[in-house]
Amino acid sequence: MSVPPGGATPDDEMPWERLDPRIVLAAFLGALVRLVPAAVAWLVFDQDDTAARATVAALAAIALVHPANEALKFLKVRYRVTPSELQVRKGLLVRTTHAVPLHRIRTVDITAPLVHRLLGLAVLTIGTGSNLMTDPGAGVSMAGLRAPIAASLRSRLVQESGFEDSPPEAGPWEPADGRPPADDTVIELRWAWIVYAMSGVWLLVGALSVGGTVFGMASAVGRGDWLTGGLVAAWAALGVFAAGVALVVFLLVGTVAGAVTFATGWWGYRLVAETGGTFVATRGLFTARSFTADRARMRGVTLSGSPLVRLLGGALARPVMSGVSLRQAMNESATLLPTTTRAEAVRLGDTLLGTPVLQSLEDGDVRLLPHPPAARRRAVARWLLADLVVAGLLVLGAVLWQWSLWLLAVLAVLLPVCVLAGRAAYRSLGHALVDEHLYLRRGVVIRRTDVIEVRGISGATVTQSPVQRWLGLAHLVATTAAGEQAYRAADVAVGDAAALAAMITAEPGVASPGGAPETGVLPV
Amino acid sequence: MTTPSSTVLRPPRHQVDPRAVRYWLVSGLITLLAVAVVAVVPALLWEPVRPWFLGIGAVVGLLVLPRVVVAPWLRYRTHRWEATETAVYSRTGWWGRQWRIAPLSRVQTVEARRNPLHQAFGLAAVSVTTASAQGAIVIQGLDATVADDLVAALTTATERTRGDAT
Repeated sequence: MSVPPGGATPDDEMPWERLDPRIVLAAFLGALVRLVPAAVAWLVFDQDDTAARATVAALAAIALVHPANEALKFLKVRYRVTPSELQVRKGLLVRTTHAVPLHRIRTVDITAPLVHRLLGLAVLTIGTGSNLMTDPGAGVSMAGLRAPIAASLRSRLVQESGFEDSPPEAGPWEPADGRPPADDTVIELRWAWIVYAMSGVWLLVGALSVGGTVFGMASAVGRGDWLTGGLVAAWAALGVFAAGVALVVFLLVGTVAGAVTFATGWWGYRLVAETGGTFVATRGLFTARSFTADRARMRGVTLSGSPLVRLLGGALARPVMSGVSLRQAMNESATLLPTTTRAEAVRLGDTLLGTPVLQSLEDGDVRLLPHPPAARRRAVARWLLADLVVAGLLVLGAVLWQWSLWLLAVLAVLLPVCVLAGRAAYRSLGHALVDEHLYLRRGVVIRRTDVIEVRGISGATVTQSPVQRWLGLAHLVATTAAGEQAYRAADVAVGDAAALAAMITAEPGVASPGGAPETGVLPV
Repeated sequence: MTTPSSTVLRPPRHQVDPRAVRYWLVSGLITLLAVAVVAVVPALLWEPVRPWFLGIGAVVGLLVLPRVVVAPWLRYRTHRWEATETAVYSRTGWWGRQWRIAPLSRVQTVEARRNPLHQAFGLAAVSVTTASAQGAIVIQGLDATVADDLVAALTTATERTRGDAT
C-alpha cells in the first residue's frame, strides 16, 4: 500500500490538507482529566505512598509527552483526496504515504470522544475490503479533523468511492417494506431496549468491572486497604446473610452498569438509509459515533441472543459485512444495531441485507433441516465427557490433597444437567440452503442463526474427526471475506456436507453418489 | 434437501509425490529432536529442574511421536489434490480429514513455497488463498516442477475467471 511520494501523476497538483492544531490542546486536556483527580487525591490523602507517587508521576509524564506527540502529528500528517485515491502522508524521519483507492473504501466511521467533541474535533477511520491482518493500509485512521471537515470528508468519500456502484449481481436497492429509496430513518432509539442491556453480558461482568476500576483508583492513591478493610468488616457484620447480600449487590451493580453503558453508548441512536445505498448509524452521549456502511457489502446477517435476553423476547441482529477494519472491530465503532426485540431485530437485519431472509425463517417459509440423530449422541457424549473431566480432577484432588469424596455428589447433580444440555445443543442445530442463502443455526447458551449469501462465500471446507467418521457426521465450514470469515454447520450428515460444499462452491463434480474408489493413482 | 446417504466427497484426482513421506518423516524427526534438546540440555546443566524438564519433555515427546511413527504414511494415503477447470480441491489429514474447495473465481493469490527441507527432497508446497482469512488451501509434498506448472496454470486460469473477490 505504500507508494513513494512524488510519483509522476497529475494528482500531484492537489493541495495537501493538514490536521487541526487543536489536537494538541485535546491531548493535553485528555491527559489532565486523568492527572488532576489522581494528583489531588495524592495531596489530600497520603503523600508518602510510593505507588500513588508513581501513578501521579506517570500521569504527569503522559500529560507532557502525549501533547508533544500530537504536535508532531499536526506538523507531519498531511492528507488529500484525489479523484482516485485517499492519500495520507505521515512520519518524521521515514515518511510513509498510505494511498487507499477510493473504490476500495467500504466503511467510514467518525468517532468523537468527549474532549474532542468539546473542541469540535473528530477521528475519521476507513475500512477497506483487504485482509485485516496483512495490509497496514486496511484501516487508515485520521485523528484531529475539525468535525464539519470530517463530516464533509465522509460524504465525499462515500460519494466518490462509488458506494452506489454495487456489483451487477446485487440488483437495485429496495427497502424491506417496499418504499422507494430515499434518505430514510430506519430506526431510532427506544428506551425499552435498556432491559436487554441490563440482562445481557453486563449482568455477569458489570460488578467485576466496576469493582476492579474502583479498587484500582483507590490503590492508585494508596487507599486500597480502606476498601478491603471495609469489605471484611461488612462481611463479618452480615454473618449468615453475607452471601445473599453479596449476590444482590453483584446483580444490582451489574444491572446498573449495563443500563449506564447502554444509555451513554446508544444515546440519540438513529439508523438512516441514505440514497445511494448506504446506512449511517449515529449514537453516543459523551463519545459521539457515526458509522457508514455500504449495503452492497452486506453478505449476510447473524441473529443471536443469550438465555436471559431470549427469555425477555430480545435478539441482536449483526450484519455480516466485508471491509470492517481490525481497529473498527476492536473499538466497537462498527456496530450498527443494539439488542432489540426479536421482531425488530428480524426487521432490521432484513432491511440491512435487503432481502427478507430472517422474516421467512420466522414465518416458517424457510424450514431448517434437523441434523441426524448421531449428532445428538455426539453432543450428549461431549457434555458427559466434560462431566468426566471434572470427576477426574475431583478424584485427583481427593488422592493428593485429601478432598472430601462427598464432592463427587456434585457430579450426580451435573449428570442430568449435562444430558439435558447435550440434547438442547442438538435441538439448536439446523441448516438449509434456500434461494442462494445458507442458513445455519447452533448454540445451547448463546444461540445463533447465521444467514450467508452464497455469492459472498469464497470457499468450502469439510472436516471430519475419527469420531465423526464413525458416526457418519462432518462439519461444513463456509469461508467468506466478510464478518467472522468462517461460518460452520456443525455435525451435518456427511452426505449433506458433501452436497452443500458442492453447491455453495458451484462445483457439482466434487460430490459423487456412492463411494468412489479411494485409490487409483493418476499421473499428473 | 434430500441427499442420498451414500453421497460423498470424491477423492481429488492426484496423489502427492511419494517423496512426501520422507519429507514428513524428517520434519517430524526434527521436531522430536528439538523437543529432546530443549528438555535434555537444561536438565543436564541444572540439577534442581531435572525432573521437571525430563517429565514435561517426555510428555511432549510422546505427543509428537505419532507424527514420526504413523503420520507420514497415513498422510500419504489421505493427501490428494486436484485443479479442475473452475476450482482447486484438496484432501488432507492423517487423524481426521479435511476437504477444501476454492472456486477459481474467488482465488486471490497462488504461490509455490520451498523451505530448505522441501529443497532437499526436490519438493514444494503450493498455497492458494481467497479473500477470506480462513480456508487457505496448502498442498504439501508436490514435486517441484509439478508445483511450478500448477502455479502457472492456476495463475492464468484465475486471471480468466476473475470475479468479485470480496
